[in-house]
Amino acid sequence: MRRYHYRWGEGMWSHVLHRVSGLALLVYLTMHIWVIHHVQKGEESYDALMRSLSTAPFRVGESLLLAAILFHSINGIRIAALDAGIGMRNHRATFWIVFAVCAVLGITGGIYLVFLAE
Amino acid sequence: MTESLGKYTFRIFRYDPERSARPRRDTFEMEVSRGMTVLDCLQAIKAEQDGTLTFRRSCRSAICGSCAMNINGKNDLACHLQVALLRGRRIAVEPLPGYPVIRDLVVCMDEFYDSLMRVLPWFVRKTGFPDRELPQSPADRDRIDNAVNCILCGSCTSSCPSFWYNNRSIGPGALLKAFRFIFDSRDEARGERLALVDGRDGVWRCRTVYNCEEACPKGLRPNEAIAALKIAALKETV
Ligand code: FES
Repeated sequence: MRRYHYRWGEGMWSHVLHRVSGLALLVYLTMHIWVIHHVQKGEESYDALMRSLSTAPFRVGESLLLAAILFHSINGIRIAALDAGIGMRNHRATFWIVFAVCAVLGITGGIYLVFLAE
Repeated sequence: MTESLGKYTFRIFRYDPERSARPRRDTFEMEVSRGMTVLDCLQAIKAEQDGTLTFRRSCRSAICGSCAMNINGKNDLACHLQVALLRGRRIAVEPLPGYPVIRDLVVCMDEFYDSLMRVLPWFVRKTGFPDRELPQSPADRDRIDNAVNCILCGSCTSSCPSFWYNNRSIGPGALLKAFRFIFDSRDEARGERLALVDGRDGVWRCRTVYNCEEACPKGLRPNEAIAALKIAALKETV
């Protein structure tokens, strides 16, 4: 395999971040189903699991999850628009807009999840 | 005498399978003057420093497409890109990514030509040709203006990550060619061609990375052609 030294533009970042956040969501959904299945094991088992899920590492994980959801959904709208031929000439600018919106919402939400949420 | 731009360092990809299976990078220093293109420098290096340096070139006027290579991380025509336009004094010259390297900067373009053949890159007229020319309105001509100037240098397809991952994907170069005929008011194979580009190796491999837009040395926009094809494929083949 030859290594390619291709210059990374906004399109590359959009593509790779979209793929990575998509895979992260897939992993999360699998875990989510596993967590939810504790409901049918009774209240005790579910509550115990919930307690361990509100510890610090999981809270940080939750804010990363929030970041992945935000990016994947908002950038997904951008990509669907591009596929429909909308905003092609401004695809670099729209990437940075998506990125900025995700950063603001993600950081605010992350602070809430890690420090303020019950 | 033209103004000198000073010393530049060229770091060039070298590969000679008869000597070593591993590619290496050689460094050459040379004095560059204003107006010199990257190709001028490669020719000077070949003439004065290392006669074994191998690359393709023919027209030296950005029309044959044979000197496409990757310069400072971006595909371009070496005969078209002036050194003065590059940032920094170190210039990295690599063969086009995505195609197998034959030697140094020379790549095997078979995959690119094969991808072109898959979209029937010729004019199809089922109702026969008239005795005289086949006129087209200026508006109809404008529709395909983006695509008729393609010189088949292969820069766009070589810049496409979808093509790096999977060389069965048709790639932006051939899709631009498909666009050129599908949206030509005189062509009569629109349906067949649309079906060809609608497959999983066609327009839907495009992940909107848009390296091709930046890579095209002629300023064409394969990405916009692909978007138009996606819409046409959805509307006309469902
Ligand atoms: S030598 Fe013909 S395009 Fe550069």
